[in-house]
Amino acid sequence: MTGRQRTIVLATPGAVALLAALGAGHHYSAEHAHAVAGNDSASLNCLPCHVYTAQDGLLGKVFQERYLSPREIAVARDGRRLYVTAEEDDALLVVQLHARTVLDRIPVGKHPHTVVLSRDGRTAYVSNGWSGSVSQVDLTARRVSREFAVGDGPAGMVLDSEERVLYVANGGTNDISVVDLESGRERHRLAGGQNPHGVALAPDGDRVYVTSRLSNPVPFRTPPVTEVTVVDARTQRVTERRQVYAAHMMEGVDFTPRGDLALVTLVRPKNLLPATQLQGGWMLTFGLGVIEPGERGAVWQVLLDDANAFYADPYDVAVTPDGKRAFISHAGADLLTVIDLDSLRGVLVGTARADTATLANHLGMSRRYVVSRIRTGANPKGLGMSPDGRFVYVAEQLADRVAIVSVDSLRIVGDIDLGGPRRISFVRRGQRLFHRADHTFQEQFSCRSCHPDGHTDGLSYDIESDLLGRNVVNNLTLLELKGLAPYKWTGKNASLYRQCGFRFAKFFTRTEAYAEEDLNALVAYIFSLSYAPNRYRSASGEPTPAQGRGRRIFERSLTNGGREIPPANRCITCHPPPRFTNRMMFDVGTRGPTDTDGLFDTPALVNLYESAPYLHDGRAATLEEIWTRFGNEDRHGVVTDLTKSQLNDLIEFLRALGPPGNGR
Amino acid sequence: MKRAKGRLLAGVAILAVVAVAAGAVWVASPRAAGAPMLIFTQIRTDDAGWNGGDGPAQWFPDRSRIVAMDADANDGGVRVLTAEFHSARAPMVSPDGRRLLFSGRRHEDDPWQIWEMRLNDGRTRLLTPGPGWYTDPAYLADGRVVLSGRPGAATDAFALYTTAGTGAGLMRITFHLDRDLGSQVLQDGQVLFVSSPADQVNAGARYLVTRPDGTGLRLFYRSADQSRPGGRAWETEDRRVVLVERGGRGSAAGVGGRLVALAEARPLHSRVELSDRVAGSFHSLHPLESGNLLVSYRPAGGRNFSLYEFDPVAQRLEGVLSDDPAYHAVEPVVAAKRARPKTFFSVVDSAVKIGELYCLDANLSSLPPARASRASMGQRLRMRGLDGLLGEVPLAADGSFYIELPADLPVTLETVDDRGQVVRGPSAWLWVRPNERRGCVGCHQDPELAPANRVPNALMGAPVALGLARSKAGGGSRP
Repeated sequence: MTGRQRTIVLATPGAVALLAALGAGHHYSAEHAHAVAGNDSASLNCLPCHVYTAQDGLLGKVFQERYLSPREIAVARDGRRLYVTAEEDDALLVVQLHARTVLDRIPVGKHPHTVVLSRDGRTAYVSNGWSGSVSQVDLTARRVSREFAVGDGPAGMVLDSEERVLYVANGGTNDISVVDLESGRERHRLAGGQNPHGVALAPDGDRVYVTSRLSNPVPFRTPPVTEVTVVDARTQRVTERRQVYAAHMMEGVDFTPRGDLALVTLVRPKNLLPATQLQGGWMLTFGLGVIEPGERGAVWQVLLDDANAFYADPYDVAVTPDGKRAFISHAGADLLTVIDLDSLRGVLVGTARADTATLANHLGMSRRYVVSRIRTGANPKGLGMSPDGRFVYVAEQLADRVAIVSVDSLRIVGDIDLGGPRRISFVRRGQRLFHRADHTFQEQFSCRSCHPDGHTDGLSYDIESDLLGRNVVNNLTLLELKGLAPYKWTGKNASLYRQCGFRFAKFFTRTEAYAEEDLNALVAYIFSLSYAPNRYRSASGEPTPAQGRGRRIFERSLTNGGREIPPANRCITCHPPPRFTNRMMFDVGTRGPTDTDGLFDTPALVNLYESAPYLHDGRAATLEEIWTRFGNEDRHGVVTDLTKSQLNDLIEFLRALGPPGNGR
Repeated sequence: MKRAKGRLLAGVAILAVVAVAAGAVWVASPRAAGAPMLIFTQIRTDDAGWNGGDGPAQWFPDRSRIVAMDADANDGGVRVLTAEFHSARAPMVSPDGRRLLFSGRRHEDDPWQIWEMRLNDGRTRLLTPGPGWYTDPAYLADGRVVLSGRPGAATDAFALYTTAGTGAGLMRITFHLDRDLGSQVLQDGQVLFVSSPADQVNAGARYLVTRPDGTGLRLFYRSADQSRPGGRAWETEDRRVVLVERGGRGSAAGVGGRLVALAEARPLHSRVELSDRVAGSFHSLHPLESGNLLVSYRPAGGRNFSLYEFDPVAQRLEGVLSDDPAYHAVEPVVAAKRARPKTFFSVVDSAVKIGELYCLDANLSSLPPARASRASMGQRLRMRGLDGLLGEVPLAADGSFYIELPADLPVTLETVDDRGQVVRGPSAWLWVRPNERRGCVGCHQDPELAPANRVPNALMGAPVALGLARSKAGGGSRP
């Protein structure tokens, strides 16, 4: 045998084995991808799950980018500079307007939200959404000079007219910090609505309005009622709680120069109706709340949509200094709406009180006060008005850009590139898809419309089941979903690919399904979403005494009376760490009045305190109600032997269940 | 030498294959970009029965033909695309610009049917085998075709059908007794069409939209001044719908018509007339990329409709593109690639023989109560079919109802008081598709009113079966 023949003899089995291994590997990986994705698409491959979404290590460095994601804008009083919070870059950007360039990047806390300026232009205050703090920035030295603690999830802020007090809306703790700027300490912590967000000071300096994004607790299967909290700026006490009915997601707020009206952006959900159709505004409509001052002042709602076109996710509102116009950013529609305020007043004056409900639902009214729709870049959020009222600046959050809009011509006359990465990563592409409503019929809603910040809007929906009006489901968070399949309360969906695939298009968005690459990008983005740090956990990770006692109850095997609790009925059995779910279906006696079945997927318990209401249909307004009102048959864990203080301890422990690493 | 010869032969063979392939590609290629082809219908001016109005003589003009003309040709010369047909009209180009649908008949005694032509080689195929008469085809987003059909010749009623275009059976998607003609597929995938009562000439016509499976039917536009839709409407790039309206404003039997634009976002209340300043009449139109319109227009006192370019901003005719005194030039289309509309997933399940209808408040209506009833609020809902009463159901305390009814069956609804007197109604004919679930805010309510967010009382219970006493078969597919 020659050397060549020997090589062939030896190499052939090797080659065959290699091909067989490759074939088997491909077969295995295809099987795995199909099983995980829950569909049989031939073009599924390993990259979306294992490469494009890698956050750490070499792959993370190669495939991920650190974007700026500008959120809110403050304009210097001399009109020469903008200050922009870069939410994903943990920085405050200083922008020189005439050169349209970024002068400086000042590091602040995590996920900065809002920036406000002192009148002398020497100090900025930045709320740090994930740090629970406000950074005081010396704009001369361009550095943080002081940082003071506020509540959890600080968002909107405003200075009082004397600049002695800073009001901060704490979205996580549902309260409002009143911060003494001289001492840097909170004077008061005022109870707010649910998930307070926008803050504005009335032109006379007497009142502070704070919007809320989520509804106050309401009886089961009744419309949301969301609060605008009114604070007396002299006494620093809450004087009114203006209830806005059948609306939520109130984010932006601004006053007319005369202070006779406050405008708030809002969403009017139709969660109590079966989701059988979208046309005609049967899922969501978007509008403005118009609030007259004083306890007896009216609260009107008007829509910004048209009969066949919807403008999703209104975020911010800015009134021109002459009080003639208001600009509203629609984050889900990549668009600004401009309204004529005198025309709007005309509509309000001509509407009898008895007709305000019709006004709030009428899709034809917008033509009477909307004067323009202006297309913007991706995801317009915070608005800033130039002091002379000639320009509106728009933070295009997912374009890393600020657009400059002429108030006269109602056109974009320029933009400022903030210097974010040029490359659009796979996850960023998914982020844009998540926040854009163009994948729903008539662009009626984006994923974000019901999942603000990737979380939940706290509503229960009637998502068409075999009988209309049955099987309503509590909206679930999308944070940290990777590895938590199956999805939905019924566990019907083996993967997010299935959840967001053609069935989603057939029964929810009611238009064309996502193209496969888009679906992959969307899932990649959703899998990248993470919880903010759990505020009930100490920095050291050590449990408080109450949490420690609660943990022992959570893990116990014996009742107070010494009777053994069957393993299947122990908390820890179905809710094991690290995500506190065993991902299995159980009937724990929570079947409700609208349910046709009692079998539900076991939910994860991470950052549970952010996810009210509770149970699969949202019947329980608080964690306590899970057992005190609805689970007192000892099928959802054994609890009837617990004392009140033991139940309190259990809940303290549950609230402290944070994500691995606690998001820090 | 032998090896070299072999290589030479192989080379020649490869070249031959490449040449044949290249030739095939050349033959199959659409026309070069930059020279779009205009396609339109020519109707003989000596056809005394055709006047550009409504009625069977207008929908099926004798010896009409479809012709093509290069947009940049100066001589106005046309090429007949349907030379093998006795009559043809209603051209519609596919989104990829390569195929043409039209209605036609090869011989004088044939029924009018739907044909598809490959524009590169002129080959045609029949899409609607069978005895019925068919017209006004349009491509759906998924490649299927929507068309108007009249299965028998005894009636003027036309329903909409869809077909996969493979010679497979037709699926009917509208079920009332009206004439549904002039289909157009909007960018969002909905089918926009003209619907008019079959038993009334030139009255009550309006534009409706439906999803391609016939679900979600609703009013799109109805003229406030009794004008009549003049046929197929078109969508522009700036999301307007442009169309021709005839009659109205005290006009007599008016043929031809006026150019009208609607904002797609609010079609019922955004009508703008584009041809105020132009005397004469318009027959049909097609939007151009430039923002101008290609229009079929006849000057006041003129004999025939010719093709012009029209500037809708200046309201000015820009110039004639085709003018042959022997023919009317109507129904222009441009053979060019355009954006594909969006697709829908159908909820229709043919295994389910019923659909569901629910209403939030049947007493919410813009109609005044009937005089015969002393009540202003109905107590019960009555449903009638073609053959009479199908049943009654009490309204819930909040005015809501939730019923299941036979699918694809035209019915009318009316509210009645406790003495059985009609309070409001009857409604127009409506129907539900198999497995469709449709909700209404009220009965004859303002169509721009979004629903209030509350749980209708009627949805606390099971649906009441009307018109059939059987439960749902098949179960349907739910999320």
